[in-house]
Amino acid sequence: MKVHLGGHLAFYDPAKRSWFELHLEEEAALTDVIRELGVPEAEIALAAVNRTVVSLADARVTDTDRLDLYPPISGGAG
Amino acid sequence: MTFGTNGTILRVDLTAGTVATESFDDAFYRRYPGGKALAAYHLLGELRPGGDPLGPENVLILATGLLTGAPISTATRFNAIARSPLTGGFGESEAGGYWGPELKMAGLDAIIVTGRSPDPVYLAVRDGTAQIRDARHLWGQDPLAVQAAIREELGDRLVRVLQIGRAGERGVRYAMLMNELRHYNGRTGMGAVMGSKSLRAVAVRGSRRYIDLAHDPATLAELGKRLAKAVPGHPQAWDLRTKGTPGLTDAMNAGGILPTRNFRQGAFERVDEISYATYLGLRSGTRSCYACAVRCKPETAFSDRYTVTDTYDGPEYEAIAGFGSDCAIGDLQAVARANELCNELGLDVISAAGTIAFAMECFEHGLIGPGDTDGVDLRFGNADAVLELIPRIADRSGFGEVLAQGSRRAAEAIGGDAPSFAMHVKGQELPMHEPRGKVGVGLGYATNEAGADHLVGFHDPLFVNPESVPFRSVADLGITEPVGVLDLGQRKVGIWYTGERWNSAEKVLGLCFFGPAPRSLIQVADVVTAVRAATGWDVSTEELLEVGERAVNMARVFNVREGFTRADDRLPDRLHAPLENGPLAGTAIARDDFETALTNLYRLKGWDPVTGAPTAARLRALGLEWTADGTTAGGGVAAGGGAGVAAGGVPGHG
Repeated sequence: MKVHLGGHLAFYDPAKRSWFELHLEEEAALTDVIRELGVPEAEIALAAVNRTVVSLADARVTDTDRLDLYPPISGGAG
Repeated sequence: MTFGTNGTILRVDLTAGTVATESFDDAFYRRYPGGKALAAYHLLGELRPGGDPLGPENVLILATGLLTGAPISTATRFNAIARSPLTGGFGESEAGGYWGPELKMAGLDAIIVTGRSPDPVYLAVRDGTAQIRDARHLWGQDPLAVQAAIREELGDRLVRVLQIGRAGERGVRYAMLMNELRHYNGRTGMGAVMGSKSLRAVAVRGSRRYIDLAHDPATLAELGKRLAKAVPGHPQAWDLRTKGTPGLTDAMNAGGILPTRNFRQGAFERVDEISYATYLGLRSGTRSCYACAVRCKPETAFSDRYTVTDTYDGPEYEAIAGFGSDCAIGDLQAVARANELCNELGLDVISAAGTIAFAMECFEHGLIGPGDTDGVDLRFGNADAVLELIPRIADRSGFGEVLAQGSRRAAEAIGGDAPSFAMHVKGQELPMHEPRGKVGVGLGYATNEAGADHLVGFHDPLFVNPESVPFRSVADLGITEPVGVLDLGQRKVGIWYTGERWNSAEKVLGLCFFGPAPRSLIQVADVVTAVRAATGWDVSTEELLEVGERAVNMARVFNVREGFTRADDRLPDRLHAPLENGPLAGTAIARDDFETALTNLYRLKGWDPVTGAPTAARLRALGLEWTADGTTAGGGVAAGGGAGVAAGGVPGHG
C-alpha cells in the first residue's frame, strides 16, 4: 500500500518519511494501520483512500490502496 | 527609562527634506508596545480623515514589534501601516527577514514617513541617525541592482535594504515592500504608498544588540536557546522547517478547500502538477529570518521550461495556489516563474493572482475579449498569458492598467456581471484559504479592517480534536471546548475572538504567525515570559490579549472615520453559494448563520451590532477614549501635535 503522511504527520514516522510503501497481508481496519504506523489519531484531521475522503473509524484498506493522511490544516505565508 | 525597546522613533518629512527623532516613555510603550499598536496610534493621530492614500499627506509607518530582534525564533516581524490605496481603509502588512531586527539595533523602534520628495530618494539610517539621499539613478532599476548599489554607496555590504519595485514606483494599488529581496510586506499596497512619496528604499544598519535592551537578559537568552533546541522535536515546527508552506497544497486539495478557478471549486484536477512532491523537484534550499531556528522559507532554482533563480523567495503556498489552482495552471514551473516576476517587480502575489483569476473568469464569460486584453488569450490554465500580464500590471500598460487597480475597481470598469467575479473583501483579494471549509477564517476575512487576510485569526481545523497538539496548546488562552470546522455557533465565535486578539498581540510583539501556539512551538507562557524578561513588566496573558484588542480597535476606529460600516464586513456572494466540486461540493456558508455570527462577534468585541463601530464603553475600557471624537485621534495633524496626545490622557508622550 502506498502511504503519504502529509504535514507534520511524517514527524511520527521513525525515518521521518512523507511517502513510503507498507505491505498489508490482508484487508485491515484503517485504525489498525494507523496504530502500526505510530501516528497519533488525534493529529489526523483527514484520511483519504484512493483520493476519496473516508471516515477514520469505519474505513478498511488493502495492499493495493493509496492512503493519504493529513493533520489539521492551518494558514500559509504569503 | 524603557526596557525591551529603544524608546525612540524617527520622523522623516520628505517634503521638507528633514529628519528628527522623538522619544516616548515606558508607560506609553506598555499601552502601545510596538508593531501594529504603535503604528496605529500614530496613523490615527497624524492622518486626517479622507486623506489621499497616494498623496503626500498619507503617513507611512514602519514599526518593529516589541520583541523584534530578540534572540527568540520568529521574533523578526515589523509592520508597514498607512491608509491603503487598495481598500481606502486601514492598510497594514507585516514581514519578517532582517530589516526589522536591524532597525531595532540601529536604536529605533519605528520610522514615520510623511510628505513627498520632489525627486526619488532613499533613506540611509545608521545607529539613530538618518540621511535622505539621491535615488534618481536607482528609480526604475531591478531590486537586486538597487540593493547592490546602495550597499556600495554606503560602503557596507551588511546594510539591510527595504525597498519597493517597479510596481511601487508606478502606483499599482497592491504593490509591496521587500527586504533583503526575500521577505515581503505584501498586502494592502504599502509599496504604492512608499512609491508615492518618491522613496525607493530605506537602508538600515545598527550596532546594538537587543539583549542589551532587555530588563532580564539572562532569562531572555535562556528562553531563546530552549526554543531553538526544541524546533526539531516539535511536530509542527519540524513540519514548517522541513516542508514549509508548499507542504500545504495536497492537504488543501484533499480536504476540498484548495481555491480553484477563482474560488468556484475546492479541488484541482491537476493538483499533482503543483503538489509538494513536484515542488521538491524544484527546491534549491531553505532560508531563515533573523535568528529563527524554524527556517521555513523555501527557495527554488531551475532552468527547464522556464528559468527561475533563487534571488527571491518562494513560491510559498499562497503563490502556488494563487497562480496554480486558482488560475487553473497545472505547471509548478510556470507558477514559480509568475511568483518570481511578482517579487522582482514588487507586486503582492495574493492580489496579483486573485486579480488575474478574476480577469480569467471575465474572459471565460465573454465580458472581455482579446480586443480588451491587448490580444492576450486569458483562458483559465493559460500560463503564458499570466506571465505576459504580470509585467504589464507592474508597468500599468494596456490592460495591465485595468488590473493594476485590483479586482474591485477592475470589475467596476468592466461592468456587467464582473463584480460578482471579484473575490475581495473591502477591495483586497482573498488569500488562498477557502472559508466554505473553515468558516471562522471567513469571519476573519469579513471583519478584518485591512480586508481579506488569513493571518488575523485562528484556522478552524486546529480546534476540532481536543487531544491534538495545537488544541492542547491554547488551553492557556481559555480555549477548552472543541468545535467543528463548519460550525458558526457561539463557541466558534468565542474561539475566533480569542484568536484575533492573540494574533493581533503577535503583530504588536513582532512574533511570526508561525511561532506561537497554536501554529507552532512557542507556548503561551513562553510569550509572557519573553515580554516580562524584555520589559520588566508584570504582564499576564490577559494583558497581552488586551494589547492585541487595543490594536484591532484602533484599526477599526480608523475605518469608521473613513466611512466603513457593518455593510463592509461582508464576504463575496460566491462564498454563500455551493462549492462546485471536491469533498465539500455543495457546501455554502448560510447567509443568515453568518450574519448571526457577525452580530455575536460584535457583541463580544463591544461593538455596535448595527454600525460595526466600537462603543464608547469598549474604547474607554481599552484606554482609547481619545479616539472617540470620530475625527482625529491623539492630537496629531488636526489637534496640534503632542499636546493633543497628552490632553487625551495618553501617558508619556515626550
